[in-house]
Amino acid sequence: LIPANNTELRRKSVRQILTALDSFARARWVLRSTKQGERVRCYGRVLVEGGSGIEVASRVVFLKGMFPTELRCAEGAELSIGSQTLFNYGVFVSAQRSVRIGARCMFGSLVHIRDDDGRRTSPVVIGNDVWVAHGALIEPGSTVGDGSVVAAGAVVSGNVPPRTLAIGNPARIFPLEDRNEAFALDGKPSSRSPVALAHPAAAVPSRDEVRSAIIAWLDDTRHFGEAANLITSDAMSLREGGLLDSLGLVDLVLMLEQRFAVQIDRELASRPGSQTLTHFIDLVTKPSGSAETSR
Amino acid sequence: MNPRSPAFARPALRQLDRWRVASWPLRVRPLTAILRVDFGADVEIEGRLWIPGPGRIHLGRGVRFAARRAPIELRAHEGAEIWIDDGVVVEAGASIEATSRVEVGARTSIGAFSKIIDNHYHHAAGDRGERPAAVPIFIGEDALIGPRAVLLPGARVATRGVVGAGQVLSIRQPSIPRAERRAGEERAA
Repeated sequence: LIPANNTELRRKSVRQILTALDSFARARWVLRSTKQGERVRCYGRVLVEGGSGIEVASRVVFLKGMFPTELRCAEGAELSIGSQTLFNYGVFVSAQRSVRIGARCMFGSLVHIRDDDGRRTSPVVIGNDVWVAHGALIEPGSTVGDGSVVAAGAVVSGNVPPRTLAIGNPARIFPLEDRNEAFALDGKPSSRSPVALAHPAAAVPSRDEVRSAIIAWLDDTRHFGEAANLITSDAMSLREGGLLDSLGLVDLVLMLEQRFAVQIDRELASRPGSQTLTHFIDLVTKPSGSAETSR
Repeated sequence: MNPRSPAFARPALRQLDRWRVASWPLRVRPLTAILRVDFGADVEIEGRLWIPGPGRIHLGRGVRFAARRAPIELRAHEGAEIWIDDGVVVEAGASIEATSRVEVGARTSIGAFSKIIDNHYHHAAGDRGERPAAVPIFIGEDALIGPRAVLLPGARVATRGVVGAGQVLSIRQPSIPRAERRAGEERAA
């Protein structure tokens, strides 16, 4: 397959094959007490405690890194991991009763999942295609829906619906930025349109009022008196201009909803490239439907 | 550990826990790591420093790695560079990962178990197999990165900026922390 004269590539692929073989062998050995599927790979250290209750489906991968991954399962408890799920280093999964992880999930480094916090024991269920990013904590009783993302450093205790983003501590729920069919799957099409709540037409806030509220909020929580200088124009994207991160977006929308007693469409608010001052002002001041056209 | 791929810097003798590198002696590291890392004078390593990637790493004068509790990782991917300026202190368990460029200004302190990473590696929605573009990370001089902080692509910490413990940052962080600003306002009032 590889040209004989390409020695560099040959050496590389031989090394890759050897590492792969090594990872299969290592998985067989470290997961020997568990029920494991075919072609499980283990590149780094994995510590297993109570392997009889652990079930690892086929083609699960454990990566190598600074710290070992630990799977812990109490007597009579169950810990199941779906096929093709990937674990970065230092992941800690502890099951006192039941932790179920779906297929094709990705777990970042130092993720912590437990179904017992010393006071209560409640099963944890993680769906398919879930991405849990670096350092996130998943607390007892949590369920994470299919395709959702748990952001770095988030602390989840509760229900994360399918195809959403859980971000912050405690985790707040937001739709994923690129949602083609999100919310339609969620079965809640009502959240698509911004609906004014207890908000008679006479009390619609003026554009200046909303604008100054946003800038004051940015000053207070993010940019400490510099926000007005940093925003060069109302048409500048706050996300791409580096003024607002995804957690900031969530908090901004929550702040606007509370302050002006409106309901803001999460999907419109988080659409990539449209997070300008004008757009946020439109979302608050314009009635349902017209916010999108006025962009 | 596979002795071929990762390069471990670790005191030659266990009792030699504190280890000062005045001029970098050949015997303490595999040759591959020496080629990729340019060390300033007085780089100090307590414990274990792990340098797995093929990219370039610059360590300024008097950089200190306090890795006695847990290892410190500096991973620069192919073509990437990690630039650590003079007098930076890196605490145990910290991890810096670059696919383009990560710059840490002089005398900055990087807290224990913090993570600095300039690539998300996966798209949140859509094709998770595809790797998004990296956004370089710049940390100014005399900044403080708190323990367990996470700096994500696009994070910029100003000179004397403070990133709180456990904070996740992917935008610019201003130089004056909120508490200081409040105190200043109160004094002015």
